Amino acid sequence: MGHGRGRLRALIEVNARGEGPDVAQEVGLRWEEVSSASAFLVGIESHPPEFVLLSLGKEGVDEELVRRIAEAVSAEDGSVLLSAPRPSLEWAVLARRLSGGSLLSEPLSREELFTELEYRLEEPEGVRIADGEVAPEGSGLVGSGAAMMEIVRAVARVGDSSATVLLTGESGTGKELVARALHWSSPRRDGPFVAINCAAVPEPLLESEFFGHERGAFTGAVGRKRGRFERADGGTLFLDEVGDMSLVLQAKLLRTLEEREVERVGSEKGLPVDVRIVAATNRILRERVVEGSFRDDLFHRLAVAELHLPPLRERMEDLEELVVHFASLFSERYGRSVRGVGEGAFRRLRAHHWPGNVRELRNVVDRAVLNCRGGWIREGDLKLNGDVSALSPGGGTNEIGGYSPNTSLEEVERDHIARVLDHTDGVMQAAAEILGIHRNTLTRKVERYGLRSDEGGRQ
Amino acid sequence: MKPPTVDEIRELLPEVDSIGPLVERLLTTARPDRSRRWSTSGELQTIGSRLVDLPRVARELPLLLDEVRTHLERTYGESMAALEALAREDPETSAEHLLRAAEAERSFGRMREAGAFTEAAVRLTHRFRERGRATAVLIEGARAARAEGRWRDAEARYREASRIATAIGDAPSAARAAVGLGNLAVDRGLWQLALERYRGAERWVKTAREPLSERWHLPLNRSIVAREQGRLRDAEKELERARALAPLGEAEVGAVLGNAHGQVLRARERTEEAELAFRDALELSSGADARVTIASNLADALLAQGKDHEAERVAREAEDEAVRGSVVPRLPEVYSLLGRVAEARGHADAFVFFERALELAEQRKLPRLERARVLEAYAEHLRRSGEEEAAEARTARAIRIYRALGYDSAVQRLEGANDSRRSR
Repeated sequence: MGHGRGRLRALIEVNARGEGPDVAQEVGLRWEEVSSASAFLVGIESHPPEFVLLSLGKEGVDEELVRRIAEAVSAEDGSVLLSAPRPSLEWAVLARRLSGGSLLSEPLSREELFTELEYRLEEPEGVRIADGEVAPEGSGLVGSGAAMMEIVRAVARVGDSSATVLLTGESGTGKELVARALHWSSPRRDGPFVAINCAAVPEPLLESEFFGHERGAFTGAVGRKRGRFERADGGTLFLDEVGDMSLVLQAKLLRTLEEREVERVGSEKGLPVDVRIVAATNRILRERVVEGSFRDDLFHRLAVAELHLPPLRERMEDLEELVVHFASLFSERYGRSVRGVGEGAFRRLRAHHWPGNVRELRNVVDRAVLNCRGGWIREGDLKLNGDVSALSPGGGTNEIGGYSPNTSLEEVERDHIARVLDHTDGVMQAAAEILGIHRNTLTRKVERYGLRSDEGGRQ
Repeated sequence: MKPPTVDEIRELLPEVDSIGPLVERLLTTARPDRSRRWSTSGELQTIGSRLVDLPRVARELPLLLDEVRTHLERTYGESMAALEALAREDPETSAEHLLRAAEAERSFGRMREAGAFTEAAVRLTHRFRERGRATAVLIEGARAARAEGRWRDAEARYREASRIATAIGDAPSAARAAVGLGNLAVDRGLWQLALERYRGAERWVKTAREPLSERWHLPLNRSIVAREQGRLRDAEKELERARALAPLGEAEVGAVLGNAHGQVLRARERTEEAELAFRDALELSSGADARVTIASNLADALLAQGKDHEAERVAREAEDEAVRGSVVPRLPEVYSLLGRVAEARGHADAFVFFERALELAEQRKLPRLERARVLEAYAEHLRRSGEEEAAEARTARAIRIYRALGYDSAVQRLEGANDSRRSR
């Protein structure tokens, strides 16, 4: 849709139209005003206009009518704009749901209407999401680049056995997805897939989560509990972040793997288990073996086969596929009609460093779908860089401009430096250049804020 | 040097009063471990794994010491004044000083100490010659007892305050006591009793000459009761009344009413509208406590729409607000919510949040009601995860606490659910 070709059909009181006709003309739309709801419906289904503007204050306009018109118009890629003399929550929600935009207040103001129209008029260059393209949740490994193809081949090669597999790679690269793919491609596919995160579960609970417990084994052990090993019997047990386990538990895990039986806490009776282990770590486990914090024998037992998952920045050829995959997934989930992703958005996504890999991308697209107006995800819908903490699962506030209004300047500075360092992967010189300060000044600030101490040699 | 975690700080430093403010300050500076930001375990982080900003606390130490000094001067001063008044055989003034000391403790974030000063003031009321001056002290004492979940003490104090106020025709105090009694009935889920008590309060509010905040609190509270009873249209009407009577232009009042509106919409399963109402309320609110409540409600509304990432982000904001704003007692509630979010996102280890919530309730000696609520939420999570035996055990513990507190409707609700499960 381009300038100068469209129609805007409006049903609005004369005294509420404000600057509507002028703005329409300015952006190249023909303002067609009708006086009643029945007149408005004439021809709307056979020749839907590019834009309809419905005033919720006009007699005969109700939710049913709005829905009917929205269906007809959006089937032809058109847009519905809603206005109201007294905005209410109910109508604001309807406007967001049906038009993907805000409820315009009456009389129509130049600024509000202009923003809404401009945003929708320009269909950006980019990638259109095919009609009916619905990505099933967790549909598996997405991407057809060389690196992903190598992973797919490796999964096919290793999956069809019971060998223990160690998955390595940065956080968010999709290790659990690969573990599931290994499970599904193995003869155990009809058995259970059970996962546990060894770094998330507090140490005192981890043993009983692994092996289960008998009633009364310790305070709080109110009933008998089956551990994850037992629950995974006949299937696959995925041990995520295995490198964070204590040495004591490592010894117990090793014994279980060697003897192929578990002892519930509080019991001396061994229970045989048939479990395939897939372990994962975002640490360099060999280094931990050398420094003595990870058992050498356990490492070799876990790493019978080793698969490395590349970070997203090393497989950017898959970015487009991933974005389209997540965009269709979330627009389906939220009932939004996202039709495509603009080139500007892609440019921004390609320029990002992706410290959180595919998990970060998924979160970014999730929010972009929620922010999206007018059917296309654009650059402005993306929360990246400065907003990183707001998207991170680990938390952080994001209010005005990414910070709480209670935040001190010092805290903002500290956070911003940390973000820039993340962006440059800890390279001080690059961070100093972005921040526009001397490297020594940055070093002093980094020390003062206790941000990092491990990148001293990285220039 | 890796900054220490909150867990490590708690393990290292003994629980002694003298460094209490320091430990609290360390806690408020704690931030999520950025190195785990994008890992699975990062999604399951709680306050214990947050990293404490030691250099910042070290820099701010002189300021903290100043604050401690000012605070001690206030509490010491009020304590001395209380003693001197008592020596003059003026227990009424003595109690007022103790209440001021309580207020000083409260504003310093020391709720238990505030409660102890209030208790001391309440004990003095037996020696009051001017009984009329006892009502304010008793009402404060009742509020403190209610906040700690000691409902029986709260009830006795409100009753006594009501008796005295009625006898001397002190309408504002009688209204406050009657509203307090109504609120206690709400806490225990005794809806009809609550409405009856609010009706009594209404009569006193009409009698009072001065403007009372109870005037708009009453329809607001009745709206809550109506919502709990499932009378959602009535809940909206009462809320409209509250809106009409509330002071205009006060942001915090707008936040309270907006939050209540969101809750009614949520109960009506109009979750998108509820989301917008909570967002508006959040923009209006500034107090950490209120912001945690509203953000939690917003996260819940988002979760109900399947927007689990957004729900997580907002729940994490609530967590952050609770930590920075020193309203740690609200964290168990936030962690129960994050547990539900993690469950919705298919985390096998979502139970970690509930375990942490229980641990926190224990560690911070939070009111038992808080523990019961977490146990109930935990049991629901375990039940959905197919761990029926563990769920039953936690439900039984929750029932024991509710019963001990006299929260009969909760006991009936949980026992009823147990019975229907067994009969299936």
